[in-house]
Amino acid sequence: MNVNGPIVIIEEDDFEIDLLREVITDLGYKNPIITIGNPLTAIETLRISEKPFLVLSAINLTGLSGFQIRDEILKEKDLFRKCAPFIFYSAHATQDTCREVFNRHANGFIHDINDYGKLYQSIQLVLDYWKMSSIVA
Amino acid sequence: MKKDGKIILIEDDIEDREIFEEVYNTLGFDNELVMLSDSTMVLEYLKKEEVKPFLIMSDINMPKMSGYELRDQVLSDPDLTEKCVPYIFFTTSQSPDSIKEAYRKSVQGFFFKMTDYRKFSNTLKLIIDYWKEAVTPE
Repeated sequence: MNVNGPIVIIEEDDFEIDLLREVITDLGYKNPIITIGNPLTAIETLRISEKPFLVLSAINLTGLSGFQIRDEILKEKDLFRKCAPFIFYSAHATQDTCREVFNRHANGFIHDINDYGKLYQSIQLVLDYWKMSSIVA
Repeated sequence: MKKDGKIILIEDDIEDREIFEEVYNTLGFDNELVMLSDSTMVLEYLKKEEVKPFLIMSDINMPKMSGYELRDQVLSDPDLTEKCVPYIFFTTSQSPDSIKEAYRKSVQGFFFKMTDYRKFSNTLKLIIDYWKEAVTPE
């Protein structure tokens, strides 16, 4: 983890990307934000990017799901270390989804992101928490 | 519900346990705090069906069985691993090697014990708030 490094967002929906950017900026975080709109390029982008502060990834993506991207990351030890903490988010959370998230050694899971107030609060907690935690690779 | 489950602290040092308990009690959370001082007894405790932890915080440097060894044992049992999310290391050890090692063990956080009471209190509150908000396997 690199506290001053970029926040990487894996999300194909422009509206969601704008929303997440807005929240992160409103919270006063000055980290550069890298967005990966095409899931098929996610692995390559993560390989070449600077070590992120954290990675926020949607689960429902077309072409390659967030889970499939995560599975690829888990195969590469260096990439796995580089992409920590790795946080999934989704609009709704079932227990099955939740299990899948943590079976993939994700570091967190944000849900109910359709409610702006809740999203704001969740993102704040996630950023503050991982800023305080010392997971580094 | 699991969010109301126990907070389990695995800590061999009596002073550290006392400080933790004192700080925790000021935060106003309803979760029961369970403190386990002997790391070799933890596995058996966690495996009990009625034990449904909300949060596990483990020290690393402990006699008999280290926090890492204990984590390995938890991870070798998939059902127990699922039950023990979030699993957080809480340590005085500041060496980068130690952090790397913790990271390989797949943990949901790694925090340093703090001597500053206020900072400690803020950190503990943040940890608990964060995991109250997050969905975890039930």
